Amino acid sequence: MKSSQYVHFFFSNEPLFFLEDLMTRQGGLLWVDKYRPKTLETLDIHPEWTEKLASLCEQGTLPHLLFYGPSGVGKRTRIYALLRQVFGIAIEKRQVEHRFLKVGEPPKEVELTTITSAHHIELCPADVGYNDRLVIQEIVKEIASSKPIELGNVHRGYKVVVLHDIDEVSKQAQQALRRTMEKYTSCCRIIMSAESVTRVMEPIRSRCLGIRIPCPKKEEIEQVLQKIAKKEGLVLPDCYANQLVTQSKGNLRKAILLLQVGRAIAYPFSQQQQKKNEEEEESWISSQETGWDWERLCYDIANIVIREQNPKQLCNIRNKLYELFCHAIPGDMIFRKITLHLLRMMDEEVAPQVCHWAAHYEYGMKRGSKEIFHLEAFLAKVMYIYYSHIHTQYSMAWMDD
Amino acid sequence: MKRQKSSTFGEIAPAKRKRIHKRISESDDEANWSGQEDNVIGEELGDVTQKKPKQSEPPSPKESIVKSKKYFQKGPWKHTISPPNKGKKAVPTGSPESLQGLTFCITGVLDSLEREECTDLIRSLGGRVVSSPSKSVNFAVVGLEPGESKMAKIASLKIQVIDEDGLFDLIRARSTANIWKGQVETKTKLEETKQKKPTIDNNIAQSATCSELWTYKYAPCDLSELCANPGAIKSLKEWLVNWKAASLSQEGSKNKGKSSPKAVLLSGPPGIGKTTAALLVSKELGYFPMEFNASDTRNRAIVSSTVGSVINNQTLNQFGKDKTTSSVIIMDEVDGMSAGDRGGIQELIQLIKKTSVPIVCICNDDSSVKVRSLANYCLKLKWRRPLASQLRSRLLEICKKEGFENVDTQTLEKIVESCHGDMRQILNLLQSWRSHSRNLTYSDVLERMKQDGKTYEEMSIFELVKSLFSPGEWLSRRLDNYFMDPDLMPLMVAENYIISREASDLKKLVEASTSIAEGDIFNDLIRRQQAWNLMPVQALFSGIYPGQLLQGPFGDMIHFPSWLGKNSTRSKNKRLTMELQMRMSNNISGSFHAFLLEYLPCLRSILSAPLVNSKDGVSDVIERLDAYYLSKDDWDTLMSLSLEQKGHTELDKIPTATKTAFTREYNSRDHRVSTASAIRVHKVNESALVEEGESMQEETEVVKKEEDVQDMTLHDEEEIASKLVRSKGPSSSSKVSSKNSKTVEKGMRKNKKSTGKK
Amino acid sequence: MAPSLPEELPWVEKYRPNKIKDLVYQQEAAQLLHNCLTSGNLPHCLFYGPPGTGKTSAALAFCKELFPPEIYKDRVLELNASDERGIKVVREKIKRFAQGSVSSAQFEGFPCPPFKIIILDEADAITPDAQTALRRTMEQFSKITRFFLLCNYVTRVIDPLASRCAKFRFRSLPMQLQVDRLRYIVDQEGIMVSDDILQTLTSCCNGDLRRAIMTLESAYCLARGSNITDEIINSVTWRVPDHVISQIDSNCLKICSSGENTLQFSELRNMAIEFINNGYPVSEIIYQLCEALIPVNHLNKLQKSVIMIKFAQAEKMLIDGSDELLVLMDIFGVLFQVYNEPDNVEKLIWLTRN
Repeated sequence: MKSSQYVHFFFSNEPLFFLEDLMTRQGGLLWVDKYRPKTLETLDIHPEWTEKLASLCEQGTLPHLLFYGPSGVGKRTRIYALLRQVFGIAIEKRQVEHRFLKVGEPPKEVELTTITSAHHIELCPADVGYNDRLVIQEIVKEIASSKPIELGNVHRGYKVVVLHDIDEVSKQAQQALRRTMEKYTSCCRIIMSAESVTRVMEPIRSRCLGIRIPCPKKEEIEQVLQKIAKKEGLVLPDCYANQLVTQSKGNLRKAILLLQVGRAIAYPFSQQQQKKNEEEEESWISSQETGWDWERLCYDIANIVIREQNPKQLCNIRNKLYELFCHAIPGDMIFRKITLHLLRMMDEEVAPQVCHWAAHYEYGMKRGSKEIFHLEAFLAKVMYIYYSHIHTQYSMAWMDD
Repeated sequence: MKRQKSSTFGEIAPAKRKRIHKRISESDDEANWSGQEDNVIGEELGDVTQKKPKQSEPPSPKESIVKSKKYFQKGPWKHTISPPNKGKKAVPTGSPESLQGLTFCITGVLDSLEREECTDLIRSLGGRVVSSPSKSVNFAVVGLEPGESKMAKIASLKIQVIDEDGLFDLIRARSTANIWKGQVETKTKLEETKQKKPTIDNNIAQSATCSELWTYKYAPCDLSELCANPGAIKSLKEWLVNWKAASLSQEGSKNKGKSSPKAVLLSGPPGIGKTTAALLVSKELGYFPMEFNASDTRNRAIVSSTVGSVINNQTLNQFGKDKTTSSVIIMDEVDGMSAGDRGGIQELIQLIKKTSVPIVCICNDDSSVKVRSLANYCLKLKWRRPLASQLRSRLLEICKKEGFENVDTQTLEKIVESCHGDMRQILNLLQSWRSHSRNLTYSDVLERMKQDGKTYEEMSIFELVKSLFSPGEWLSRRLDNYFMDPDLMPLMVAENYIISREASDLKKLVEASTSIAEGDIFNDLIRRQQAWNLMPVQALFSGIYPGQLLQGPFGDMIHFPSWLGKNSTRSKNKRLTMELQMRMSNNISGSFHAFLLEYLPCLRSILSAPLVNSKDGVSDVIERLDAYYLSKDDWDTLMSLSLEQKGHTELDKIPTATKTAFTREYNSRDHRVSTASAIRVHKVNESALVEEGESMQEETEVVKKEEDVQDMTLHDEEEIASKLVRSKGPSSSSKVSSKNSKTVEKGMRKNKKSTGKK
Repeated sequence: MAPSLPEELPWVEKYRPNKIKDLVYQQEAAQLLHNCLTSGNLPHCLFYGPPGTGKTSAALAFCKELFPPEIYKDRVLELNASDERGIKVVREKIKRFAQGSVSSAQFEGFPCPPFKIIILDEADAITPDAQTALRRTMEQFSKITRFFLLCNYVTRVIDPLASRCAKFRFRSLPMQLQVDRLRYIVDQEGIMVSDDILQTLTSCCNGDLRRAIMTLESAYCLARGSNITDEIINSVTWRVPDHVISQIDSNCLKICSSGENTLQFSELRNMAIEFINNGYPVSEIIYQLCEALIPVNHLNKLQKSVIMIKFAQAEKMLIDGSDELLVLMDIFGVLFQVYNEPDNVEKLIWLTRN
């Protein structure tokens, strides 16, 4: 009784968002959203894929696809562009739904957010956590059970299920997906996105066409930035653009976001020519002016380890870690940032060890549940390694295990 | 007791009598204690070394606050350092009454005994131990780092100062000196018992025939028999007296409804007489009590039908009598209204609003989730644990009636202490002991407490942690201590290992922290695969090994794990972030992590930067918010998620004038709100909604309370936390969560409005 | 599977063998099934072996030959991991199906023996609890029901179940057979593909024929009529380009030959970051690097074994979900030390600690 109320509630919603609405409201959007390419032709980076994807759409049979590559290279943007290519403008009529699904035996209620249009449904199964397997089965079955809608001239024999972050879902869910993919091939296609394809199991990989999206080249990012600057009527000095490119480390989204933050905080951009060597870059990164706040906190932690090695500083570090923890910054990201920063600052001799222990403790963190413990243990270890490295001429620290 | 003794002196040989008499009178007449007699004892004992106490740091104010909140737990704050030579000295056994009549005061850390152990030793030998020095104190046992104020007082009272060795010498000297005296005394005692025997036999006969539980037998049947909480009882009485007047006046003028609450909520730990007090008070004032407790089903329908029907009735006895007698409803164990009693509390609140009969609700914990909403409608009265001194006389009386021998006040106090003042438990314990013995000496009690497993319960979680780190502790004992609370212990150890003094050795620190991290992996294995047989392994990794490595004193006071509080903050923040993401999901692209790591900080800067310098940026920001379907409250949430340090957040940089201008401007415009968001919040207060149903508008207050509570109990460990936090007094975590719940509340309110409109 | 649109079926389904005699290479199982077709005698069967060796195909083809399409649904129950297969399903759905009696109706051209068949695909993914519940069901209704258990890892099927079945191991298909099959498909579809390409394709797929067919189809889609090239094969087989792999080896060599004084780990570090940024799957890097390093001459046996042990550890870590970048850097750290100190036995052995 309880759930039926809600179901009624959701489905009585009219589509919240129409095309004209989209047009009028674009002014306030962030640049990264405002200038997001909508079609395959307007995609700025990786032109080599554009043509291939277009040809895939032309043929009657679109295979299952898996887009993979690091964060911020445009996987989702590309998926949208592809859908647009397949289904035309109708795909822009999207609706965000927050749904409660009854899944499994005995029925459990799970909540998840989906984005739907007449031709596709988009969800992130990892959001529902433990029940991801059931959700995938349910959604795909649901989609497959209804016939694809024929809208005017657009007619394809299938609908599309977009599953984001497929690498985050559980093994069982992936198991479940493999047969589902085969079973419903005739009426639906599955498009997935993943950051790390290693975590996608082999049977799934072998059932779909993998599309690797590498980080854009530096020049490509710079071009995109300049293009946006031009449209916004900004003066973007080359050196500043360069800095943004270096700092974004191949993440296009970050580069554009940073550009806009720079515009909001310090416009006109400084013309100063930064030296390009490594050290200068360090000082620029660790200065308080740029980068996200959580990144700066990570750098702080690494700096403490380098500066001083004692329990009191470890306490200090723990407080900072808790701050990151409270804001739900994922542990592996903290590990990455801290490790990279440590490697940059430390002597080359200890670097392999730091790498080893970073991997070791991060592995522990993945198997455990309290991220803080593992991070703290790692930082204590690094403190110890670094301490013995500084205080002994010929380091035998590697022998201590 | 002392008087009894002096009455038996008639039988003692005159020569010796004088001396004993002198000693007894010394202790009896405390004012007579003088320097001269001091010397006498000093000679008798031989050399007692006096150590100059070292200067110690004054206790921090925080410590003393915490201390004052404890009733019976000897908190770890009293002395965080364990004795340096713990367990290394032979403790003299001494004859049972060798310290009879002497009063001691202990301060500082002793050489080989824990404070508790020393107290037990002295008491078991018949001495008295007091916490602060006074004129009656004969000896001050001083260890390392004694309390400054105590030392000053000791000096000013000219109390003889001895150290631990001195105490041992004293015991040895006195026990040898007392052998002959002991013989005499036992003789006298035998005679004494002979004399008394007939009466005791009578008593035994009585108690043997009576198989009644003592808890019922000795339940107070009169208000004057209640030992503790006179203040609370008084106000309960007053309330009930006033209730009559208030209800009468209310019938006349109904507008005055809110002036005095129509119900009262008694709260306090179990077994201290709340129900009894409620019953007695109502009886004394001529009310007829009707009791409902956890054995009755108390869901919504039943509460409204049974209790509801009573409310407007008048008792049958009332007919023909004067109009002032009526009934009182006593709702016992309201916090026991659980899953099966859905809606019971809400119904109770409804009843309270319209009742014409006084209602007394009783619970153990008035800050618990379930009771909190009820508490708003009640007069809250707190019942405290009775102090040992309050229970003493009553217990003494009972013991005598039941035929215990050799009962003295110290023993009773010890019992009260170990039962945390739970009168019911004390009586049950005494009854079980009485069944096989009639002796009740101090050492007996200690022994039995150990057998009955009460000694462990005496240790607070803080002491348990300390025991893991104390050198020379047995492994099995450490394991036992760890398993007193295997959920909390890993967290406690992880929180506190870092402040161990040994931790300055980096290598040990690394090993300990690694071991804790490994323990966490085992914890996960245990929970995920139900591999409970791995529990001891986890204990070794996350408790025993770090403790062994870093054994030794702590450099700071022991903290309650901050992980618990931080974790609930984390889930709260995560939820807020997800809500934001969902609201924006139509226009943005990227996973949750991308949103969290990149969009959020960017939005924070962009939505605050235009406001920092001038008010012109206001419309810019509002436009941007509208583009993403964000509201002003979302803006607040966004800013609250800042990672910058306090005082440097984006919010702090914006001048107050601009903020108000922003709010005003925002409220003056029309905004479209994404409907998707409204749906999401529905889920959060789902169960509250179901319970509330039609009466939602009236009770938004209550609903809100329940909502954030639900949010908070996402994690099972959090539940443990909240339990512990409450029982251990205020800690940082509860503050954090309450602070956060405010922001959520705001969000709720707004969303409710938007759903309401639809 | 909709018969109305056969041209839209993926090749894997389209070219699935429909007859037992089409089954290649797995003689024992084929022999048994063939005998059964004639005699009507069938034990419970357990097919196990690596993916893509024809387990499901054998079972399905057998059933299709056994029963006519009219009663196929009544006689065959196919359950795989995408269906709910908890203990409840075993107790209810499977049991109900197993209990039902069979008609003795005969159909022209089909043996139609008097029993039903339950195919449990991916049986190793059934929970142990459910497997236990299956034991009795299998025995109780053995008169009228036969089970086919299909799985990759026979060890994950509990012993009591395995002992009730006739076990057949499906071996990896030899290269030539695969190429032949691919050739047949290519001919049927009318596509021009050189034998070399088919060779590389099969070598990437480790004897998994299904994967080979799927990859071929993807490659065909991607190539769009033009010739299928190595580049396309690389992108559809998830392989990391060979020049990337050789870059690792050459970089390590370069660094260690430059002398002890200028230790340049940062170069390897940057390389790791670059790999991750390019989105290469680390598991694939490990696998290919392993293949590439085994035959080289500039590493001695100890060095190689240390590296291999590290690879094994790293793979385990990746499977358990470790961060790819950190694992890759860890590997490079080990490589770096191994290349630099080929003779320091003590240290090399120490490197293999976990």
